Amino acid sequence: MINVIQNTIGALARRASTAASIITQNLQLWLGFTKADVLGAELVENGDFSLGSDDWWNPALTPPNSVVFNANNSVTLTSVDSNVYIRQSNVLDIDTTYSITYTIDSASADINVLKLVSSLGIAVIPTSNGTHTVVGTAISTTLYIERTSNGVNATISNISIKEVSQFAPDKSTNTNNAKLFTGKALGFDGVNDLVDLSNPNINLKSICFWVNLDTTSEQIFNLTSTHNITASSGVITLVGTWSNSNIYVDGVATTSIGTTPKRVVITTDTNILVNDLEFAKIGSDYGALSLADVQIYDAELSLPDALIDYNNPNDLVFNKGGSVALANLVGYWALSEGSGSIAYDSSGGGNNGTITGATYDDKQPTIPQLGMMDWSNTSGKTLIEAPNNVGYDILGNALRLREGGFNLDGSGYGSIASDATLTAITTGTIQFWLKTSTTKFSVLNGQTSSEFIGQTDSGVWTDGNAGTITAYKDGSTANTSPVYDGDWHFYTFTGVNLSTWTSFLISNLTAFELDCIIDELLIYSDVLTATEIDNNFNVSSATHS
Amino acid sequence: MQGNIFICLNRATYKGLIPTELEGKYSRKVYDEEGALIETLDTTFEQLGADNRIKFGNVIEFKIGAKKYFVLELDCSWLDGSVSALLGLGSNMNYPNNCLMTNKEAMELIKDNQDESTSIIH
Repeated sequence: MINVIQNTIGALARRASTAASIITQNLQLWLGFTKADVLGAELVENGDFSLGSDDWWNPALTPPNSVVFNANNSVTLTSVDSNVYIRQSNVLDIDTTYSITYTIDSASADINVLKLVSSLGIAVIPTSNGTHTVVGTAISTTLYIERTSNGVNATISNISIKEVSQFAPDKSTNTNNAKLFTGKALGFDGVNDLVDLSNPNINLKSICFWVNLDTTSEQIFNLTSTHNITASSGVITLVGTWSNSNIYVDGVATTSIGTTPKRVVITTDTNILVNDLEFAKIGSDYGALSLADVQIYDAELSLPDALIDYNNPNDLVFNKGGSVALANLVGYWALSEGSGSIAYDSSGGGNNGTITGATYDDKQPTIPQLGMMDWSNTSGKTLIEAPNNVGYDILGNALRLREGGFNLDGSGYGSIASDATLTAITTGTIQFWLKTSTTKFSVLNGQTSSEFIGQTDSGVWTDGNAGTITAYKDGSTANTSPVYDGDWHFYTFTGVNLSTWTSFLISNLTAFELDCIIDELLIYSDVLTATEIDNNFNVSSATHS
Repeated sequence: MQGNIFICLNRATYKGLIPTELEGKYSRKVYDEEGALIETLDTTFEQLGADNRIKFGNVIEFKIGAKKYFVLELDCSWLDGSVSALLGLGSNMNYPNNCLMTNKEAMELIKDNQDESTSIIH
């Protein structure tokens, strides 16, 4: 009796508190796909170095005199001992790129005071007083902060570690963000592949591009008979005359570039007339690399522009921010087509390129996400919106609008980090909006082809290794078959058991990839009542009609 | 499309006909207006490289001493005998005459002789 009363009170309270909004009680995941953040959630806990900081020091051991956790949540590494360090274990994934922001409260003016070499392959980081950001690729799962020089002290506070990728934020309280893998890049083999754009006859003061080098020395762009851009031993090198040039990598002023995906912005204050443009080939030499989202402006981008470009892909070209005008965009090759031998110039300049040998790399995580854009897909080519012809691609085809959802073209997916809040679900609920005309897909899948929810092949829903499921459509109406009418429909699956799942993937089941829009993916750890199902359907119907 | 193999041909082989095992996939063909095959033409490696440049990339030409060599990218399989046929082209010959190679091996060979390398644009 006590249980019945408590459950009733709980249900009443839940409904009362969530009128006209999504039910939040027992909500473990809510992907609204309202935006894509370049950086993920905070990965390091206790970044304030509070007193007795267990995360940074083994609590079973007494810190040496050279490590002092201060009352103001900072840590001081002193010169009492040599080569002292603090660390957090199992916070990094090897070969993954991270952005680290930290504050130096006081330090000797010695750039060798701190090293992250053990963690991110960064030999030297800035140590002047103030806040700094560095980006590197993990070579260890442990994050170390070291003081390697004797005779100097350093006090550090407010460290923040974020993975450099694009995420759809989780709007529940669990931050189970979905990492997005819907970018496309063009891959060049380094032997004989290129894109030839002949003589576009455009002025260049700024060029922006995503690049992933196979090695630290590669040929990137030929611009004229005397101007080109290469990477040489990990340094971006500008050949020819580049007056007052600036180079930004991932929004930071630096010439260093490694072998992970990077966003590069290069500026000069004097126009270069580009008349012999080739991607991945300079003279008779070819580059082994992947390229995406190449933009050329006849205006000089500022550092704030470079930051906007990095943090908000495509915002510059659509005039959503920054100092540069759309009229200054003179070349724009998204390299998102996915097939064919033409690299379309979406700037309107008409300087299409001929793809020779290069092939597309789908499912890229750190380049502009097609899943978060409007695009067209005619003749199997995915073309982005032409900035000068809003609503259409460069060929005049109407776009498939993402309508605030995750706009998949059958070649990408989302990955939700495995978390105890999900694997603890034994009798839960999954809900989502779906707008599809295709008849074969799987919405959510796990680590093997045996774990899936919401799979169909022109017929009924099937679910594998996911509990005893009951399905509903557009509210609490029982349903066994999805609708393929190209309109939005809201589906609910109750009785979901995720306890054996170790991966949580949106549309990454071979031969069942989604070519449709999915939105408002909700996962609860309990079974929603009919009233609650109707509530979630009703409150989000207005934006899915 | 991406090839899966590279081959470095000497001039004689490059100017010569492709092996019969490659004809089904790479020989030049003549069709009538209805799309029916009328004739299969003799095809050289030089023509194969030109026909498939967009698909596989440029043919890279370089010299070692006075001798010219040509690196082609192809898509071949053991199942249809085409890899074996290409291997046969290089039997009893010295490197790099008609040698099959991987992407990295091709890059190294071209890089080692890059002062003399050019791309063939048809």
